[in-house]
Amino acid sequence: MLTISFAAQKGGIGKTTSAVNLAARFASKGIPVLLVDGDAQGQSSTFLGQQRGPNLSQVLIRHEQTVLYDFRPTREFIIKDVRPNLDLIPGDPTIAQVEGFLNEKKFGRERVMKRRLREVEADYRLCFIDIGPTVNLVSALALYASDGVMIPIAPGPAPRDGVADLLDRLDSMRREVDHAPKLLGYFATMLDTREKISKDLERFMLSLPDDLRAPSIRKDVRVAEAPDEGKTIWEYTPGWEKSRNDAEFRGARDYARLADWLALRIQEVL
Amino acid sequence: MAKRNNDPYAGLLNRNKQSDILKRLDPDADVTEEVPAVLEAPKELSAQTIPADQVPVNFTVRMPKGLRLKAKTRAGTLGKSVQDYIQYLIERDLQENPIKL
Repeated sequence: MLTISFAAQKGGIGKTTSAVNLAARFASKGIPVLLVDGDAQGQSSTFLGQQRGPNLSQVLIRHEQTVLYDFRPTREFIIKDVRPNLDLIPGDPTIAQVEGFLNEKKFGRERVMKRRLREVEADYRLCFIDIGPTVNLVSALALYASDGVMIPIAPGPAPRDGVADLLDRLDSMRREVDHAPKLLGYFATMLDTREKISKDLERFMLSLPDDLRAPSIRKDVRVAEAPDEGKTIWEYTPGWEKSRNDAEFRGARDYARLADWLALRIQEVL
Repeated sequence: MAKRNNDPYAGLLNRNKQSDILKRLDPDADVTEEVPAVLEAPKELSAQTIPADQVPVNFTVRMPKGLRLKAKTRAGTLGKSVQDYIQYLIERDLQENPIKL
């Protein structure tokens, strides 16, 4: 199982949307995918039309006060088959409590999520983690558990500053714990080339190394509407593959291009 | 960037570590039968930590439900390839997380 995280230290820039849609895309290709929601907002459940159920907090703390033969395996906290080949560990607001539990752990705290996910590594080919924007222990656990990281960037100065902060954090991880996920790539989200801030972002993207520059996601109201109906962009805009109307289906088309790029990048780098 | 082929996902579909390990352990392994089960310790072991190199070879093992380990089995016993694979899992996990009994 290869674990890919979607990280950015800025909220509302399309991390959850991207993680959900890309996970669904890979799953639709017959690849078993586990989606882990590491964000306290826990929106991935809503995006996929699921009720709240088990969650990541339970996965992370369930070992701490039990013994080996009493523990509940990670797979008991997984919502199976939210879509064909796609399973989900939802996030929820109690994720903040995890920090308190794990602070009492003397050794190996950063490895907790990696170990929990290892229990199910034979069940999946890919694991996507949607990391919340907050810099906290849970996001550190998620980065430590990841083999690769994808960084979305939305128009505006704050997301670009967030990239620098995240790269600093990865450097710090390499120094302190001798492990950090490989940087797979950056992708622009919510691009609208009529806006100056989008043009600025396009220029910024061109300044990045070619191999790290993933296809961009243009602004598409359907991408924002789909979660309201508990659908992925593929389900919300059926027929996108056959249509020649690029404007109507740009969200689905852009995410399809990004998924293709990521599939090749994963095979090349990881 | 790798050269784009017709199906960018094909390589991901074909890479299956579990099958690779099983095939390496036993090239003749029959990968059609599912082996359900959870780790069970020998009863004579009291509270202690077992180092990785002292894991009893006759450990009775039931794999966690859903692991989907598929391999050759004999009636009522685990096939050799399954035991080897389990031993591999135990040793690997114990390096980071010794079992406390």
